[in-house]
Amino acid sequence: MYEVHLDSRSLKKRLNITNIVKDASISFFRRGTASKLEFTVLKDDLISYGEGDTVYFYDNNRPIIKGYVFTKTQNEKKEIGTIAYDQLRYLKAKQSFEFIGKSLKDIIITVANYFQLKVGYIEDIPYITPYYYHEAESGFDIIDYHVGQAKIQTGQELVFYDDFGELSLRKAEDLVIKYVIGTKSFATKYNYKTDIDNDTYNVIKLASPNEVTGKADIYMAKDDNNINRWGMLQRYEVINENLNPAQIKEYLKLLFKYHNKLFRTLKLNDTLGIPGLRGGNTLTFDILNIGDISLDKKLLVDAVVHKYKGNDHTMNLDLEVR
Amino acid sequence: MYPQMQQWIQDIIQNMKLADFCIGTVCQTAPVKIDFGDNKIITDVGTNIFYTEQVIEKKIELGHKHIVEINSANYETKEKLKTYTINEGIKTGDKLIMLKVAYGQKFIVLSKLRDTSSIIIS
Repeated sequence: MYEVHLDSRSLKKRLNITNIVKDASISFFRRGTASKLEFTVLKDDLISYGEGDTVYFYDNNRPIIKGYVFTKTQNEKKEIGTIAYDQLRYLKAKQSFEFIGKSLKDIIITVANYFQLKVGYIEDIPYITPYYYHEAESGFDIIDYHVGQAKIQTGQELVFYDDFGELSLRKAEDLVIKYVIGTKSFATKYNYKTDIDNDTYNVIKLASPNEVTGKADIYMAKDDNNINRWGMLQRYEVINENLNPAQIKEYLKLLFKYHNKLFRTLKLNDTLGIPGLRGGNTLTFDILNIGDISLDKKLLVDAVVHKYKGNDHTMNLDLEVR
Repeated sequence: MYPQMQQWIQDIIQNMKLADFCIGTVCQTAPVKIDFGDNKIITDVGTNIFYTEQVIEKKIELGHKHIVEINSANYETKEKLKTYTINEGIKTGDKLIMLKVAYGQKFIVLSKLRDTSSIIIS
């Protein structure tokens, strides 16, 4: 059973609006965008709220999302549609930053402080950016860039998200949950995809301009077996970051490990809802006879849409097979 | 949808950080810091700013040398006359015209901006 509370600035108090909420949905993404809470309320003379007000969503007393109202719509039936986003929405604002020898934690805290956002648990990751200048970039792009680099340089999957009103960074391995997705969760509507179409490369060339020789140094990794299997899929990248040869070699190794593989994704529709499941969580998979996925495979949640209707809670899931 | 697509395209183009010119003021030397205004400041970390010949300090020393032979032995005298500065190099307060390249990560200092009506630089 869910509950929706609201801090109304006009009434200067917190309201429990659960009784007048008709249905609600929450979307969580592993990366790329803010989480979204959408709900419809039946207009009531006692209720008054506006854009910027804070909304709290709980499922069985468990805090799920703290959002800020950004959009309100009203129809002829006096139903008010509301869209609220978490703090990541405020990171869409642009600003310039220069980082010299900063850790991922320093970067996140600097950007969050500038935009006056609340920070929670930030994992200490052994990632230091030698130099990076961000000119008029969104706070979100800035953090996303360094999280992406830290993932490549450390080989660890990282998740940056808003944990009920606190910006947080955790390792995906710390967000593993004990739930099993399988036929018992009514995971019957699915779509399983394997591809080498988007992120697969079996040859990677990195070019780094060398001021001493006046030419670019080329660093290359390739896998002949996979070239024979899939044909040559080459990625070419010019290194503009200020990395030394040892750092470039390490970067190449981790980049190649990530890209030199078949990518597997699974979409599930209308499965039984798991309260609080969000992008970046890892869960176990238990459906027989789907393509080449074996039992007990770990699945990383890329996107999840929770749908609440009365007492029903279902989910649509986009998963990456690890 | 159409205005949204236009916005996306503009965002993508802006994020590509195409090469562009920019004007900044040197606000510190050792290490050099260049201020573009509105909190946009870059610091020279040794790999991100390239200086063209125009802005690298260059001096020429003038002097004369005499070699005199006395009893089959050579005697040399040297005298330093004057040092002329060809290029000053950059100093705090200089306004620079620069090129922003490599997705906005590197800068090429093309030249100083100065009053074009003044020919003799004191």
